[in-house]
Amino acid sequence: MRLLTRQLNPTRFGIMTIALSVVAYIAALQAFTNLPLFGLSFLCALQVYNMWMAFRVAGQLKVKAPGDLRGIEGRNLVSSWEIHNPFNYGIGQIRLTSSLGKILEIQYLGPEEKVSLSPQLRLPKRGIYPFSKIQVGSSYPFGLWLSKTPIKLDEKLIVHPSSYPCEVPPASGFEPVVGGRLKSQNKSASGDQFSGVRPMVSSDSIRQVHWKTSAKGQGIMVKEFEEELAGRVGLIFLPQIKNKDSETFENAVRCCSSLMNATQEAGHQLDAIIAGRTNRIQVPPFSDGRDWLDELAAVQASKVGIDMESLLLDVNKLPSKSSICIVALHTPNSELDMIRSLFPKRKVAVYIPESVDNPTLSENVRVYFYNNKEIYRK
Amino acid sequence: MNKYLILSIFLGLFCTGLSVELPISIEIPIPIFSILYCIVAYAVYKMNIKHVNKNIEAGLLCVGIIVSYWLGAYLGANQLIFMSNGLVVYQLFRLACERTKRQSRLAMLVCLAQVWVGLLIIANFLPFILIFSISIFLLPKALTETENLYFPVRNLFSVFKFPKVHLLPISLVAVLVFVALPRIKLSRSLNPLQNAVAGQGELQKKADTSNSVDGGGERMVFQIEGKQIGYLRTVTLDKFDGLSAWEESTWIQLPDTKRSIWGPIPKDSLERSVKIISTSLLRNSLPVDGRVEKMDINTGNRFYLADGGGALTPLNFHDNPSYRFWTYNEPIPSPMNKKFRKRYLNIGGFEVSNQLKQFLDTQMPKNLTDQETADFLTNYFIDNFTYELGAPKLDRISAIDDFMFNEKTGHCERYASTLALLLRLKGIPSRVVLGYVPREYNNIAGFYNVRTKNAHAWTEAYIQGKGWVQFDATPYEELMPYEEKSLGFTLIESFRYFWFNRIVEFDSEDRSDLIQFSKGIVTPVVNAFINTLPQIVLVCVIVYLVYMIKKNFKKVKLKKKTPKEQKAESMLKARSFYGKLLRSLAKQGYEKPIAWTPNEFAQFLSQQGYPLITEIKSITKTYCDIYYGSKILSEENESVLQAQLAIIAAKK
Repeated sequence: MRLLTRQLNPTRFGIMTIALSVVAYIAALQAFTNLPLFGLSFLCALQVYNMWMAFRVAGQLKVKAPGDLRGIEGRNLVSSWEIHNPFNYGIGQIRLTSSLGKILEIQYLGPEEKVSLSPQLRLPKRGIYPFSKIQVGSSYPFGLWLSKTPIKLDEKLIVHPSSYPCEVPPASGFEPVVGGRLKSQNKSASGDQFSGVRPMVSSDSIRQVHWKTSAKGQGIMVKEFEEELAGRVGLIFLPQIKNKDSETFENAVRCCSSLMNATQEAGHQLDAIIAGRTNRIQVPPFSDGRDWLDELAAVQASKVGIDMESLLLDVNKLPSKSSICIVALHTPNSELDMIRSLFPKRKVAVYIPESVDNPTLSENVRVYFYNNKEIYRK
Repeated sequence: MNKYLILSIFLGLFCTGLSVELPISIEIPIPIFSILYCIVAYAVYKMNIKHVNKNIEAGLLCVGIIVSYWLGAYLGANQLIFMSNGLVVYQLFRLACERTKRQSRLAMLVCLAQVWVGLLIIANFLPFILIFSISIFLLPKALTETENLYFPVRNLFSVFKFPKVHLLPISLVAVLVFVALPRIKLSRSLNPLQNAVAGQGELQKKADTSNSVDGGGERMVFQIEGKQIGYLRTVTLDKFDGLSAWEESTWIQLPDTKRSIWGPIPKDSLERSVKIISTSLLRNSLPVDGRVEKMDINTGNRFYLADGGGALTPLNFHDNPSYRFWTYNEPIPSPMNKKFRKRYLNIGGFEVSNQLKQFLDTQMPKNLTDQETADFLTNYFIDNFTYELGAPKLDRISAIDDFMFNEKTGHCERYASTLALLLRLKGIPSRVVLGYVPREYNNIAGFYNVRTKNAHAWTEAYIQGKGWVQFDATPYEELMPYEEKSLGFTLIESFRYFWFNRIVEFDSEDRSDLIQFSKGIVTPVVNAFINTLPQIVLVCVIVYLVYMIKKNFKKVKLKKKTPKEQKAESMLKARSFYGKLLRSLAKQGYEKPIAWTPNEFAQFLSQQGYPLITEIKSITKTYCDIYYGSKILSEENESVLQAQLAIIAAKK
């Protein structure tokens, strides 16, 4: 049954009760008493009440979708949805569904209650999915009739690739950075790890003064911290694929995501490029790397061969001090030769699928192999 | 933990147990099987078995249904209804084991069916109200509980509470559906739910003049509603055995083919509504009075008007039918053929004694018409005889003479049968009619209770040009008086009558009456509303205007400030002006010490030769008058102060 945009249909249980009502009605007509019709009338009244309430609840329930629809493949959508009950009595049996599956199920909402709930939607494979419409359904309160109302969203669901723990990619161009994970032999005026005190010199700020030690009478002493260093990692993803091996491609994307996480954990700066794209994405330390993950969510395999000139352009976009890490779906010999010849002093690492046998690569290149759950060196 | 579902299952089992009627009669009806089912269910529920093999469950369920079907036939119950007892097995398994969501739903469905069976069985008010009230309370919650199984629990504090205020619209819809549902009766032969069990009748179909009767009891036979209710006939006795007894011949039960009772409601007819309580006492007779022109019965059986004037229908021993008929109190003149006349004059070889002959020849006036003859004889009995229950038995051989000339006392049957015989001897076709005379009137609900003690016998004589005319020779003053019951009894009886006739047996006729009644109330109200609409609109407009004026007046009133508020506002403004003055002077190098008063500071400035001392003094005076006095700052003063301040501020 369609009433404007809302649907109202009996559930399976509702159909069974209607069938039971019809049989009971026919039988009750032949009884010498009308009292069975009383019971039947009450059951009909419950049906009518269910229709009315389900229709109202589905139509007037207020749903506010999160502004950010992002998640990781295979996991639940994290961003919470706000549901508001506008009625002055409790309602329930609410279902939010989308083309991708069930988002939320709520058993009960109190009078005028507003809740923020995490959806139960299990995200599909990496990608960008249109999320233009969801349906709010309710079978409140008896489950005999189900009413559904569509809600327009005009959103997109961005599913990021999943990741796994892996070795930190080689980094270079280390610089003092507060919060960096690497320690240098030098000391600095600020940092996380307290190193000790030293006598104050004229260039020291008064904020560095360690008053407790200075009070001992040996002169003004200032604090020293361990110098924390962080490096730079440049990541180039070559999405060119020779055969229709979608699984390998997905593994490569996951590898890129995992490398990003490992870089973040180590406190390095990541600059990443997908070969053939025009933009370089910077992922500062301790950020969520959303932009890079969004790119990885959208990337598609390409059969078009790599253009050396554009690859060179991409490499030049990377910071000159950063390492060069290439994630490829084949052994990128020619690409590596070019990079080695042009940038002999830079650290280079390559990540290739484990299905590639005996890659012939330069000794100066670190070779890693990846599959769907780990990255390792042979 | 699904407590409402479990309670509903118990309720369903209780209702199913009501369908089991053992073939033994018990004084106080106890729902033995209902209680038994509940006890077994509770024991099973406490067992808390985790899992039962599906095949075993299915097998036991099939066995249960087959056994219940067979048992239903054995006990004489409706087998389709009785099969609900087989479903008890399914419910017991649901109580014993853990339920899946689907099983919970099926259990709920079975419970609904079982409660319906219970409502089918019971008819009395109290048990019905008890079960229906529990159902209204339990079933919605159980249904919600069953549906909630499909949703995760958010937190323990989010407990579903059915909004009680919603019970009112649900009840209203239920009542509307109950009233609106069409009611169609199938004939008995097509009805699979009927079980025809022949009734054991106690209907009297014989009247013997020689008998002695002690009188009937208080047993209720039927209830009748209507105006100007006459004598209600059940049996017509037309065959005299020649001695003292009258019987009903078979041909008198044949349908009266001259009349049709299926047409529209006859004009100016009197309507009666009858509810039969003791079917066994009436067997297949439906008490009617007068000349019945139309009839309607709720059993779906065929019924017909017998040639003897009564209405007949095959009644089930378990039935409690209701029927309506439309009748006229006056007889209609209809011709009687010779064959019928011969039958109604047949005295069965009765030997007329000399005494009787003499009475008929000499004591009766000559040249009387049939009507006058019948009246004379009727009055003769009324004036000269007495009514007595338990009068001595008469001589069987000469019962008539014994009654006429010796005893001269007796019950109604003696008078009716003797009068009928005398009329036949006088050549007037006559017959004896047995029936009831309603005497116990319920003036709240407007119906009569007819009991066994209201049984009566009278005579009917065929008067040329008039038809069958009723004559009651029983002496009046000893006849059953109109009974008056206590108010409490009357109220209870009224309620019972309303319950059974208007609710338990609510039919399409009652619905039409209800609609007419509603129209009767609603139509005048609507008409009155339409007629007075302009006045109503005018009143509404006036009320609205008054309301708006009052609302705006309140706003206007708020704008006007009280003197206290004005004073406070003035003080604030004055302080502001003086503060600006001090700031301006401070910029010019003249700071007022805290300890000095405004006047002292003004004096100081005057001594210092401040050029704008006039303005300083004016501002200071105004400030002091407002802040320390009772002066209010007017708009004019305010503008003057502002101008003076501007002058002082402009000085370098």
